[in-house]
Amino acid sequence: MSDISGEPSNGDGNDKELVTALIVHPCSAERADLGAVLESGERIQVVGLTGDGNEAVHLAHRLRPAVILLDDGVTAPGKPNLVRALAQWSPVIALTAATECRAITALLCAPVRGCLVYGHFETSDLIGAVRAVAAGLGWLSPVAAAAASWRLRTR
Amino acid sequence: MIEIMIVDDNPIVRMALRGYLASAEDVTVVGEAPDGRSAVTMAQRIRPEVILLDHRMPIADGLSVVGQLAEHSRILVLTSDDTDDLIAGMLRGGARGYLVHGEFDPAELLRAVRALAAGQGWLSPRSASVTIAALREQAAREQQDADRTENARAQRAGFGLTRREQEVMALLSAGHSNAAIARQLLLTEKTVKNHLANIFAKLQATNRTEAVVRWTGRH
Repeated sequence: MSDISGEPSNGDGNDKELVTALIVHPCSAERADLGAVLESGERIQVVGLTGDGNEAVHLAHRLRPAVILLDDGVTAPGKPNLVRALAQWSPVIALTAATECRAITALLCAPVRGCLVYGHFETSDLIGAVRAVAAGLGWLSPVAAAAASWRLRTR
Repeated sequence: MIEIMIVDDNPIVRMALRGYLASAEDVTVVGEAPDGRSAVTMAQRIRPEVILLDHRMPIADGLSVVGQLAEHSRILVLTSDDTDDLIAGMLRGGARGYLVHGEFDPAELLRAVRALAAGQGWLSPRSASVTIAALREQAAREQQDADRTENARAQRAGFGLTRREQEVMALLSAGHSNAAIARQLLLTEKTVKNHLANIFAKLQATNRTEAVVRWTGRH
């Protein structure tokens, strides 16, 4: 487990509240990279990092981060719907390599509040997504936006 | 070269958008229209790859023409309105992108235009949020319909109607009279009545309406 701050942070009442994030990714090097990108953003704090789904749920419950970044390769034995288990504590942004419409729309209904597709976002998008979702809005990479609008068109 | 048409009733907005796009070498503005109706006419003629579409315009607003425009072009909505209904309506109508004036810079507009030209989408944070919510509602509705259909199917199997009785019930559920059912199934009306008597007994229904409700599982 790597619980960095130890305590959940709820901001300090400034105009730009501190945004806390939990990173859940199976690869430790990529977890560190994602963490470095997020912390390069002003007033974003990574409060936890893990590659284990069950530990992620435990951390989400305890730390209540403003946002959870979840790679869709992470699994949690005994929890068929990891996204739902996490989303009961904090909004989830999914990171995925999926580009097929049905896979993406299934993920969006999982339910996530944002979806970043590998190869289709820049570091500024990652920070933008975390800020938007922390503010109660959403974020979709262009491929995910296309999948979502396709699904709404073809109901 | 990505060919673009700008649809907005405000000439200053059109000029600003043209200015934003002028810096890009892979983009060219091929037409402008001040209202929905003239946009449809012009777009049918010049078939731009991407259309920047405002909503509030005289004669015909954006929402009323998005479907027609989306038949041949990719629509990026650029508007000051971002109500849930308008966002969902535009996307259901065929728009692939949605940006709100005052919330994007020239660089984002260009990224959005290029994404649409490449077959992708582009949604502002608010429209992404509305889209995800609409998608989830739609999926829940479809699941409910599927469950209902499955329940009705399982229930029907339990009634033990013969194939002929099922045919009569299908026509009855569609609102046909005994005479119409008799004509379609090449039976006499008396035979249809006999079938209905058996059906009512099996469905434990006392009249046509009750039988239809039991059979379709809908109230």
